[in-house]
Amino acid sequence: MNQSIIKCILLSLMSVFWCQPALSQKSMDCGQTGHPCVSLNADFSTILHLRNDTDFDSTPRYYDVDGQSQGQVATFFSPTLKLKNKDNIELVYRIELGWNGWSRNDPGLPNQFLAPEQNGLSARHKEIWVNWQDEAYELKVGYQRIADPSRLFLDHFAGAVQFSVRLQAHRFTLLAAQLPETAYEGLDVASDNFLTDSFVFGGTYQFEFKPGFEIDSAVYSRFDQQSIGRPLMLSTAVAGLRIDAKDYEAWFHILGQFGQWHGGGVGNRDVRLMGSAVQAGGTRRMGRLTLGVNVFALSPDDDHHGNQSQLAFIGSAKNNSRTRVLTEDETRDRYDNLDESMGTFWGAFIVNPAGLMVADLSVGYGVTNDYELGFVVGTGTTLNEKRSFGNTYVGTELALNNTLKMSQTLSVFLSGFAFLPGEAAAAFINDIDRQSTDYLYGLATGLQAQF
Amino acid sequence: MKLRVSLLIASGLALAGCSGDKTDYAGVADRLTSRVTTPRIETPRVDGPETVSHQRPHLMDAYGRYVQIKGINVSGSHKAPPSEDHIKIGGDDDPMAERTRPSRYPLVDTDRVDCLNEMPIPSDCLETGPDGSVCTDSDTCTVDYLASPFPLDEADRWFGQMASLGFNSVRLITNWESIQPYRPNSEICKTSERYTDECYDLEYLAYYEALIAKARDYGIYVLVDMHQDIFSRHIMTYYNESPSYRDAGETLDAIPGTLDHTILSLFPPYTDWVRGHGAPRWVVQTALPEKKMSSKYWGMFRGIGGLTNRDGSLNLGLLGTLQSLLERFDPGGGVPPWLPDILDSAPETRFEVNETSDILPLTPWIASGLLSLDVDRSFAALFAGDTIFPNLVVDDDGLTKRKTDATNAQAPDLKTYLQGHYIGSFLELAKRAKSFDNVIGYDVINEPVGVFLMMALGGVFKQLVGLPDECAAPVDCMLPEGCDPDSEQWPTCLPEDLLEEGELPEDAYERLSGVAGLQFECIDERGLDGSDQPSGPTKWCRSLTDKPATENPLVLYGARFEDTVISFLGAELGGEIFSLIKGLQLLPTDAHPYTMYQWGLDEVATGAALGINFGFEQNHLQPFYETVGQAIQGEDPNAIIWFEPATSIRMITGPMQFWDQPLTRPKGIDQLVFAPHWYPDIYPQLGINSQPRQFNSDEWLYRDFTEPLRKHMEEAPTWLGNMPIVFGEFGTYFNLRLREKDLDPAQAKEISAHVLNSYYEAFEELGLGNMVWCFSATNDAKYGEDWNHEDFSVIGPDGEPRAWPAFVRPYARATSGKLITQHFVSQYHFWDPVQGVPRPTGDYELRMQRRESDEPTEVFVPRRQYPNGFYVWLSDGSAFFDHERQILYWYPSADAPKTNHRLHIQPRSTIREALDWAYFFDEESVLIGHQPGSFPVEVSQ
Repeated sequence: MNQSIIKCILLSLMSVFWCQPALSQKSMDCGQTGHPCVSLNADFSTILHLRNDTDFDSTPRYYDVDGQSQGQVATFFSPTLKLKNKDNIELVYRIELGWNGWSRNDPGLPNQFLAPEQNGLSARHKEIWVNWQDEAYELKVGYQRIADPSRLFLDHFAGAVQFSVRLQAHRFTLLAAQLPETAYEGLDVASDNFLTDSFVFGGTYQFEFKPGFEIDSAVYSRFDQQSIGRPLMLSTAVAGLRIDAKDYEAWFHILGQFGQWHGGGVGNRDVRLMGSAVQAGGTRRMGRLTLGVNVFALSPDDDHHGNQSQLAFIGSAKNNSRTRVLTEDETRDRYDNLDESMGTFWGAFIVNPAGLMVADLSVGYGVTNDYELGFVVGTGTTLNEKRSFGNTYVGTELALNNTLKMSQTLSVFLSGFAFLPGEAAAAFINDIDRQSTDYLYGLATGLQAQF
Repeated sequence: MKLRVSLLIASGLALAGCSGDKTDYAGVADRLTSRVTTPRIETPRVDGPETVSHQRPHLMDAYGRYVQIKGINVSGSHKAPPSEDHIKIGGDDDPMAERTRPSRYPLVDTDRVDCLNEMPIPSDCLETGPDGSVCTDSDTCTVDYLASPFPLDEADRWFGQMASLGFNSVRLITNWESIQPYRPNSEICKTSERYTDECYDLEYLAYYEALIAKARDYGIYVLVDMHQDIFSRHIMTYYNESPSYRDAGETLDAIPGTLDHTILSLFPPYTDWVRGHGAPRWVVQTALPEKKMSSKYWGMFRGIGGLTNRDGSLNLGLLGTLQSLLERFDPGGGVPPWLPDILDSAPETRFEVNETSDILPLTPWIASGLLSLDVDRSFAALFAGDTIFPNLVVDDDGLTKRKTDATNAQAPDLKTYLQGHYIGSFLELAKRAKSFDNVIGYDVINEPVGVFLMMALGGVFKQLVGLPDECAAPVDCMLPEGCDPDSEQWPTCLPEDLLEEGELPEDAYERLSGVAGLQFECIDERGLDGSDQPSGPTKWCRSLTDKPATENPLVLYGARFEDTVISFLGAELGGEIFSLIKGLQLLPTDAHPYTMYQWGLDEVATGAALGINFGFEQNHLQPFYETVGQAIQGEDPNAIIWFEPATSIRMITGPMQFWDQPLTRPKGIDQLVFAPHWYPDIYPQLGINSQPRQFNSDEWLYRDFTEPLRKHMEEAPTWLGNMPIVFGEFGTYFNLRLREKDLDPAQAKEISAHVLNSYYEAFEELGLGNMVWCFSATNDAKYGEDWNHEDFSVIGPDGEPRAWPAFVRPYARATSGKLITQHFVSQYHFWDPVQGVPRPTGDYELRMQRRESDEPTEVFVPRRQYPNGFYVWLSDGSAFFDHERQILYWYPSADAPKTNHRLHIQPRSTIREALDWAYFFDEESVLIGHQPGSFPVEVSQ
């Protein structure tokens, strides 16, 4: 092993990668260098977050020492370690530390990971996987991100095996994954088994018919036996198109689901599952101006809960929307986005019986090379008022984002938002008055760095 | 372009979501009832090949769920058959109108108010039976229980209401008289297609069967209940609810609670009655053979009979005694102004004690039964007729006779005869009920009475007082034994003080014979003087006057009873008391065989009569349960036999240490349920014509019934073999009164509500099934269920529920796991505020262990308690709400060993938050919350 590599290894321990020239985040990826290496990347954020309320109802709770507003300063740190050996086998380990609120994180404790939740350190092993690839084949095993081309159905971190075959412009991938489930059966090998578990199997086919233009198709099958004696089988098909050009990206996907939940309805009757979803959008860069648009829709269930058909889309609650209240804020997930809060968990998936459609428009303008101003407006509606308390309007979100780049890898931002809720959202979200639609507003400011 | 396509597709998605088949709750509702059993558990032995068998204290349905009974007794009005009648004076529109004396049988002419005002009943008012005969001369008067509890065409309304109020079961009241109203093999039964030869009423039985079927349509279980209270409605006494009297030309109402009111209540005009119900008239006649049940005086206070002498003259001596006593206790009070009104009630002729029933119109009615010799003897005949009345049998003609007088040498004793027919009637029900899987059992007999004090005292009296002197003629009652002109001792045996001056002995004898004829009778055991039979049956002396023997120096026949009275109270007072007792026929005053016959004590075996009071449960009641229960099981192999403890001395004393003889598990019966009753002190105070109980408005706010109910509960594991327990009756009056006069009387209903709430909280605490007394479709504002002024119906005169916030409450009808606890917080629940914790009114919590069935746990969630919708939290699984039937179906998903499941319901509130709920239901609207499993699944250690 030559000295430069040794230095790389040593210096990587100091969280510095200098075996290669300093590159952007993308080009600094160890996996792409083609020879053994170690890399350590990290995302760092410290953000102050304020909101006037937790719901759309200003009615005070019966007794709430915490008050109704939200506010926190928290730090998030996610390092990713990548190791690659001479046999082209890559190991990736990513851990997320945080969000750790400044008021709750006490480093003075002797065993902070074991401390009560209020004072302890929050951490997640986000990814642990090994990947092997050559020109034609690729095998990835471990705890990894699995996603369908649209992200609407599958976008999870789970234990999985993915095997891909690349034939020129064609790429086939087979997937076998086990999702986390809640049926109690013990943690150790002697008591665990596969009888009450949740699995996803599938395959994708992608065809890049011309550079930057790719046709996506996929079929997945989900087998879920968490509800004892009531197994669920669901097949999901995805078809769509993605374009990744110099000045624009675009995407369009349509999904259909069919399956059965054995004994899942009233009277232990089998329930037919037939959901659908669609998403389309794109971004366009015109000089300093960047425009973005996205719309997605998830099918609702029919009017009757418990009958023999369940038509709502069963999905991941992930999408390409840039909204942060209506949908997940991917940069700083606070687990309070409406598409999840108005839905219900089915194992690792979310179902919105009322359906959901969200459309958003974003405009970004680079005022200077270092300062960007962004504006996002989004609106949402349910698709079956009978399942959302007689109303469909979810709300409209307005966000103004200011980002100041201190350097290529360091930026500070200030974002303000307002949310004008509709009664459909209020019905699910409010603590007390199910029909109150008081405005929600807030701001977030902080610092983000990449290493 | 792409956006347009997306929107089009989204519209298609939306359209796809609007249609859909309605959720088929009807298919699930079919399973609201199913065959219920009481499971057993068999534990292998270590010392042999067999098993140790234990009954599990649960009721389980055909789907393996635990059935939680929340039921209601239907109907309180069944105690009064629709064929009874009365007239409301002042019209039917006035709920509080006065009424005429009620009639046991249909009125002949509804325009003739005088027929029901006169007492005794005028001869031209006699009702006719279905065969046209005058029914008071026979036991064929019309008895018809059809449409009781309600007509079949109203069944949908009432069962629908019961279901909407949350009851999953009914104790469907019937009685012996409903099924077998006439003596078996009566002519009326042989000539009518309505009855079998055994006189089973086929129309009624078909009606009862139709009720069971209709109940099933509403998801309601039925407990077949052979009901009775103090034996029979034919053991009855009239009284005047609002007596009045004339004073100086003015009519005054007697003040309730005064002695005047109490006494005057006993005299006509009668407006109401105290009576039992259950056994038909012919059964009463069998048990009480000396009774003249066709007497026109039947139901009148027996004391009235003593107001008239045998010669038809007014018993002025009695009235003088009464006046003297009143003067003694109220010196200077003068003659009560109501005394002349009493005199007006004197009958044309004297009637004897066996021409009417002996019960008094006491409140509460149970006191009437406990102090009635007729009731004692009736129950004794049923439970122990072979030992209490060893000489009596029922002959082929249906009459009760001495063995020596019966034509059939194999004639059955009273117990065998009566129990045989009781069972026969019950089996007619079982034949029809057994095919319905919503029948959850058969209640063998309601509240059996095991106190026979009056009969025991009567037997002791007979033994202690002893026979009077024998005689051949009344004059023998005045002279020493054997002293007559034909005897060898004559005339020296003639007492000197009986001879008038200068009178010859033979003349004296003739004179004394005349005197004796007015003061004594010399009669045999059937009251005959045998004057046409010189060598007839033995005769004994009996005094014809009310005066004690001490006042009559001529009386030498033995006067132990009066001696006792006088020795305690002194000559004057004792003499007056004795005269009153005898004159008003309050008690027997001698042990003459005819007196004993008239009082029904002649055939009572004293030793057995004493002994039956001790160990009644073990020696008589338990064999009765075994006999009847085994017979029912023979007809219906799926039968669950429900049984109750007796009202007995043991109920007062509790377990009696070394000599306890408790009721134990009846043998030979596979499935049993223990079904005790319990009521708090809500009954009217002891007295005659007492007013409804009066309370302060806050007396019942904080009562806890858990301990008294627990005491009853503990009978099951301690003595009865750990069987399921369901309280078959509990409840409260709705006519309670308030002491605070400044409060709206309607607030008294709140007392009833608090009582009911205390009950239900205790039942929830103890995990007990229960059936409230009662439901009545014909509840009356003044008369309640028209039986002894009971007003217990939770449905009021307007057909609407009363005090419903207390009893219309969420509860688990059937659980797929073993119930750990359930609890509802009603508006009446006392709650001491805790900072930060909102008042939990409307909260319901259910916990159960494991998931033993794939069928759902059913929770009744009443719209009345949650008019704005309700939230549901679950530990696991999914829930669906049938808003039409108000039933939440919960399908738990977790199925690990020792898993405890939890469900919580909370109303929608304007002041209280609901966080992390799994469901929100509001009529047809459903919101599914973020977290389907809102609580962590608990695992027991």
